[in-house]
Amino acid sequence: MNHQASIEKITGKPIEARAKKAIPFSFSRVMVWIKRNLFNTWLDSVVTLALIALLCLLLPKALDWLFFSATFSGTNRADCAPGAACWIPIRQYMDYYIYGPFPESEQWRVNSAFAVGLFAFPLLFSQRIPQKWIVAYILVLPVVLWLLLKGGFIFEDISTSALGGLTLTFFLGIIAMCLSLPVSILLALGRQSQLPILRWACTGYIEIIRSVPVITFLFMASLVLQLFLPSGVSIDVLFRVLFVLIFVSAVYKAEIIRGAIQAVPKGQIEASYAMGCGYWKTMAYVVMPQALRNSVPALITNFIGLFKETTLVMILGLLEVMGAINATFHNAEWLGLHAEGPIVISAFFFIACFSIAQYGAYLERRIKRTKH
Amino acid sequence: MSEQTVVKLDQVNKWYGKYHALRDIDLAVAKGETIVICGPSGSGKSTLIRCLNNLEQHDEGDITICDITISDNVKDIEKIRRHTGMVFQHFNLFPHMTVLDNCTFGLRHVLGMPLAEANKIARDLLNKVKIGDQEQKYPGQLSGGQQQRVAIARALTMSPDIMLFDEPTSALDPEMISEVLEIMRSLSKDGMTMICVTHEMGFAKEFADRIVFMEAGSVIEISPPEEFFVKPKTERAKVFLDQILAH
Repeated sequence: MNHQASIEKITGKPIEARAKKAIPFSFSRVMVWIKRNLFNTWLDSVVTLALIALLCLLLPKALDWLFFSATFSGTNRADCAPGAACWIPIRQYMDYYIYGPFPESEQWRVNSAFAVGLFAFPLLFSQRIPQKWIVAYILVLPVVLWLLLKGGFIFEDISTSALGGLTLTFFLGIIAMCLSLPVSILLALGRQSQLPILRWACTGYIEIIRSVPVITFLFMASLVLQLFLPSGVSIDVLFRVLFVLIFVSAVYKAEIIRGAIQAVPKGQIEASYAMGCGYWKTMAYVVMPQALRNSVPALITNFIGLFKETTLVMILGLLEVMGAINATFHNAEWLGLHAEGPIVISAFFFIACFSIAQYGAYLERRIKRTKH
Repeated sequence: MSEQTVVKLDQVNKWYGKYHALRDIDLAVAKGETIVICGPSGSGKSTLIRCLNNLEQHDEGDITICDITISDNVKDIEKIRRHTGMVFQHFNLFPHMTVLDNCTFGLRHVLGMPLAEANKIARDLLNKVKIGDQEQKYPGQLSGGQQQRVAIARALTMSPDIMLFDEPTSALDPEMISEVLEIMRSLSKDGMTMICVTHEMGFAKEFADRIVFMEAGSVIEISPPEEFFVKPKTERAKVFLDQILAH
C-alpha cells in the first residue's frame, strides 16, 4: 500500500492507469508478429505449414465423426448412423455414470457431496481466507464425504456395491488426495528425523513401497489380506482400496517434499531455533511453507497421477466411472461401439485433471508474486 | 558466578572429527559489555559464537548464559535462546513472510502473544531501525542493508539480554555497512550486552569494551581496544592488524 502510494506521488498518476496502458492493436503489428514467430527461418515455415496442413486434414474428419454426422437422439442401436459416433447409450446411461447404482432416494447425498467438494474452489482460490481454515477443510472433507456417501453417524449405511461411477471416482480421488498429503509430510519429516529408529523405519517403508507396482498392492488388499485376518472378520473393500491409494501415493509425495525440505537453506532453521522456537513450530511455520511452495509443480503432477490411478480399483470389481462406462458397451445392445466409451472417459478425466493443473498454475503465479 | 556476569565459558573445547575447532576457551562477559571477537578466517570465531546459543554443540567444558548452563535439556536450550538474540551474516529472514510477520514470528509462536500486541512491539522496533515504512514488503524486495536491519529488529522483539552478531556486515555492499553499524552503535550505547564477530575494526575501536583475538581455535588475547590496536600483546595479533588495517 505504502509502496503504491509513494509511486503515485512520484509519477502523479494512479498505478493502475500506468499498468493498463496497452499497446494499440494494428494490422502491421500482427503481420510483424506472424513473420517473426511463424515464418522466421525456412525451417520455421516448413514446420508451420506442415502442422497447418495436418490440422486441416484431421480436424474436419474428427469433428464430423464426433458431432456433425453423429447420432445424438434415438432409443436403440438401429437409430445409430453408420460411420460416425453414436452418443445414444451415453445419454441413456448418464445418470448411471454419475451416480452409479446409488439408491435413487438417497441421491441428494451424492449431490451434496459434490457441492461440498466444489466448495473447494472458492476456498482454494481466495486469498482472504486464513490458511488454518483451508487446512481444516482439507482434513474434514474426507470425513464429510465418507459420511455422505458411505454412511455412518446419522446417515443410513450404503453398501459398497452401491457406490459407482463418478461418485466413486470422486470419493476415492478426493479422500486419497486429502489424506495422502499429511501422511507424506510426516513420512518426509520422519525420513530426516534425528531419531535413528524412526528414520530407518520411514526410509525402509518408502523404499519398499515405491519399488512395487500399485496394482500389486491392490491385489494384495483384495486377496492376500484375507489370509491374515481371523476368519469371519473382513474389512470393507473401500477401506482397503483407500488405504492402498493413500499409503502408496504418500510415498512419492514424501520424496518430493523431502527434496524440497532439503532445498530450504539451513540458515532458515537456525534463525527460527535462535529465537527459541522448537522443532515442530519451526517445521510448521518456517520450513514446510517454503518446502511446499517449492514442490507445487511436482505435487500437482502427483495428484493428477493419483486421481487417474483410482481407475485401477476396477480390478477389485469396483465400478468407478471408467468401469461404469465400459460396462455399457459390453451390453449386448451396444456391443461393437469401441470408440465412444474411451472418448467420454478421456473427456471426463481431462476436465478433472486439467482443473487440478490449472489450480497448480494459479498457485505458482501467486507464489511468484509474493516472492519478489 | 557474579551477578553481573551473563556469559561464562569454562574450558570449552570442540572438535569437528579430528579437527580441533575450539581449544580451552575461557571467557566471562559482564552485563552491558560489548565484546568484539576477531581473528583470521578459520580461527573459530563463528563456531564460538554459535556455541553460545547451542546452534553448534561444544564437546567439553561449560557454557553458562544468564545462569543457565547448556546441557542436553531441550527446555534449557530454548530458554537460553530466548535470552539471546542472534543476527546472521546472511540475514536469514523468512522469505515467505512480510517484514512485519518476520518480526512478530517469535512473539506469536514462541511467546504466544496475541497478534495486535505483537504487531505493536514489532512496529516500534522497526521504527527504531528506521524501516517502519516497509513493513508490508517481503524480504526479497529489500536491499541487504535493509534486510539486516529487519533481522536486528526481529532479534530484538524477543527482548534478549544478550545480542550475538555473527559477521553482520560481511555479506553487505560497502555503502550499506554503515546503516547496520549505526544500529549496532546505538544498541551498544543503550547498554545492550553484545558479542560481535566482525571485521569492522572501526566499530571495534570505538565501541568495544574488550577485544577477543582468536587464532586456530584458541583465544590468544583479550584486551581493551586502546591496548589492542596500539600495542597488541602477541606477535600474531600484530600481523593480523597490519593485514586488516593495510587497506
